[in-house]
Amino acid sequence: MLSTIFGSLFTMNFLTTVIRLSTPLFFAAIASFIAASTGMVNIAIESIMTFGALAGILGSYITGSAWTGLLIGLVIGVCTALLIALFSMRLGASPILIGIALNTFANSLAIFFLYAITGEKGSSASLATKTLSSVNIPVIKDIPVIGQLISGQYILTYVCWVILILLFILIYKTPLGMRMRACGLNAGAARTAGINVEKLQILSLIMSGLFAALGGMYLSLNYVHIYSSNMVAGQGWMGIAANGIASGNYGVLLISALIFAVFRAVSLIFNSSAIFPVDLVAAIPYFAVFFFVTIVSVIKYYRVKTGHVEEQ
Amino acid sequence: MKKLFASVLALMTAATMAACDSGEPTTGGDETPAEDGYKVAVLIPHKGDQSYFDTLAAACDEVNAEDNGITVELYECDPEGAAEESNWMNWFDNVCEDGEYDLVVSGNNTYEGFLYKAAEKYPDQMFYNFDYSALPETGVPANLYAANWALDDLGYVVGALSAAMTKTGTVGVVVGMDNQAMNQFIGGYCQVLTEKGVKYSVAYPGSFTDTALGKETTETMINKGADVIWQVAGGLGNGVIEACAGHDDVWCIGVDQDQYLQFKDSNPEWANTILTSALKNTGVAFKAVCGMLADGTLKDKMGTAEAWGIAMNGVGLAENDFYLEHCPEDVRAEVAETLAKVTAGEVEVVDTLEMTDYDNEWPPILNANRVD
Repeated sequence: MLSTIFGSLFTMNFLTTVIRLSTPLFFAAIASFIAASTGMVNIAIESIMTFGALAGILGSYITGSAWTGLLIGLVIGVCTALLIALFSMRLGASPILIGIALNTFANSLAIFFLYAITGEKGSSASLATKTLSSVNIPVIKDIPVIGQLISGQYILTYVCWVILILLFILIYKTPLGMRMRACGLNAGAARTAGINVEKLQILSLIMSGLFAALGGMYLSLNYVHIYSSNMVAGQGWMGIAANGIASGNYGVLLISALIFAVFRAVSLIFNSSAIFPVDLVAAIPYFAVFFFVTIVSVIKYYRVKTGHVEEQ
Repeated sequence: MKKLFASVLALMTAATMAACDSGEPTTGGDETPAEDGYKVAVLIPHKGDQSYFDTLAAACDEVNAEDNGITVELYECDPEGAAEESNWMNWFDNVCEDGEYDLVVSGNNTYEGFLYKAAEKYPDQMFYNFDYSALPETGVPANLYAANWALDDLGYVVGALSAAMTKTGTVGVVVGMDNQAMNQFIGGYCQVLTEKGVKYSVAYPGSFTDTALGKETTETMINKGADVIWQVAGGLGNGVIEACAGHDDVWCIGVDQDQYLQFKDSNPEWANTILTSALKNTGVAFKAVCGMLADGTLKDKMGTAEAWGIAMNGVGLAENDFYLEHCPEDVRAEVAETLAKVTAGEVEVVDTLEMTDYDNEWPPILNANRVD
């Protein structure tokens, strides 16, 4: 019994499952990361994903095109991010409180708009919506193994991969990225050096909103082809946790997000087996989050204690 | 800046208030009680579960649309599903205090405790529990009629249909949560499949909303060879249907309402994978109860609990055009035979709600012929 389960862990299907599950987590993780890079705290990832997911579907329904839907979703994501910027930077509210407010607000507001437009509160099932599809890449799809993995994924998964690379270049290889990180490390020093800290922080929040909205729209427009109430279901929080583990290290960020996706996929295999209690299995991804956060904290604690790094 | 702030604040307040507006009656809305009509109050946590709350809400609209002197007012009492006692008792006080309503309807295993308390508090008020899983230890209150659904029989029939339809010899079911009440759906299902020697996969994603997880769970199931997949998982079930729609040779079976009809116009690709749906006709029973209220026979039902089975059209399979077209005639004959057998009580169907020692009795039945 165990052998069949462990057998199914190392199959092509398992890897493609991981890829599909990792996309929203990557988006959420980089959304949290980019905001944190300039010292901003965006804990509203979950709600921006919800708004993006709904706005994408409704936009696609109203305009009749999935791509304009995507654009509308992005605009809504940016607007929400700007709302955070407005309240935290101009009006002096704590970004954590704004995040809590938005997260509390998100699902109900989404239901309100869903109800206003469809007359239903559960899902956008009654709307005939255009959605995005998956893509077969001509040459690559014929390569064995790699072709199966890389080709045939959803459009927004490829968008995600491209963004992951571009973001790396932006943060680590461009002067703009250097400045953004400088704001995050020490805003006062950065200001003294002539950097417009506020501008960069707003920029990072806007990018954060874009990424989170893409993550939400991956779920609704691209993956399940419907908006269903509360469909983000904690994936935004996993992205925030990944960023917490990474604490500024991009490589660790991506690995953490990937690990969460792997554990989500593992829990899928176990939840249809008789071996472990399902409640325990459903907790696997969250337990993984807890476990890795703890490990990283312990490592950090000892590094600070032994004087390898200074406490920040 | 201040102006902008003020307008943003005003906008948000307006939106919040609008979002909270669900406390108002959403149907009926006639403030003055009709002199010789009947008034029914329905208290549910919220609409939008894509399951039987929605079915019930639709039935309320239908009763209101018919001109038979019955006015139904639907109240959404608990949008967050917090199941807080003070909130629910407050709602019951509101509808029971003036004796304005002839019948007060509520139910579901999470909320029925409040209903029983209200029934005790207002002995002159008639109550209807539209779906009970447990009755008070003191027995059914004398002013309450409780209904539930022969889900065990329903699962048995779905199992028989799945066994007849599978080409691979493996079928599957996705159940939102692993608990005694949800497992009532699949007790008979596992039983009949084991009898017929068909392998089945049972998955519990542990959520009713995470559609992505629903889709991946189903993909995993399909990879194991399952080609007829039943979903019993609310909104998460959308993911199950989506996954089935992506495979030409996989059928999906819907739940609660006729899901083929639900998606036929908006999403034909989904509709065309839904062979039939396992109906839990909350609406049919509610309309019948309203009828009994009007002709005065409901009083005789007070103090009783009743399982609505196949014979009473409480549960059943959706026999729509799509089903008739795509389900071979011999399979349909077999299903009809099973339906008749179950209705006649010739089969002893496993019912998890009637198990005295659930923790030990259930796993052997669940795992009898299950695929790992």
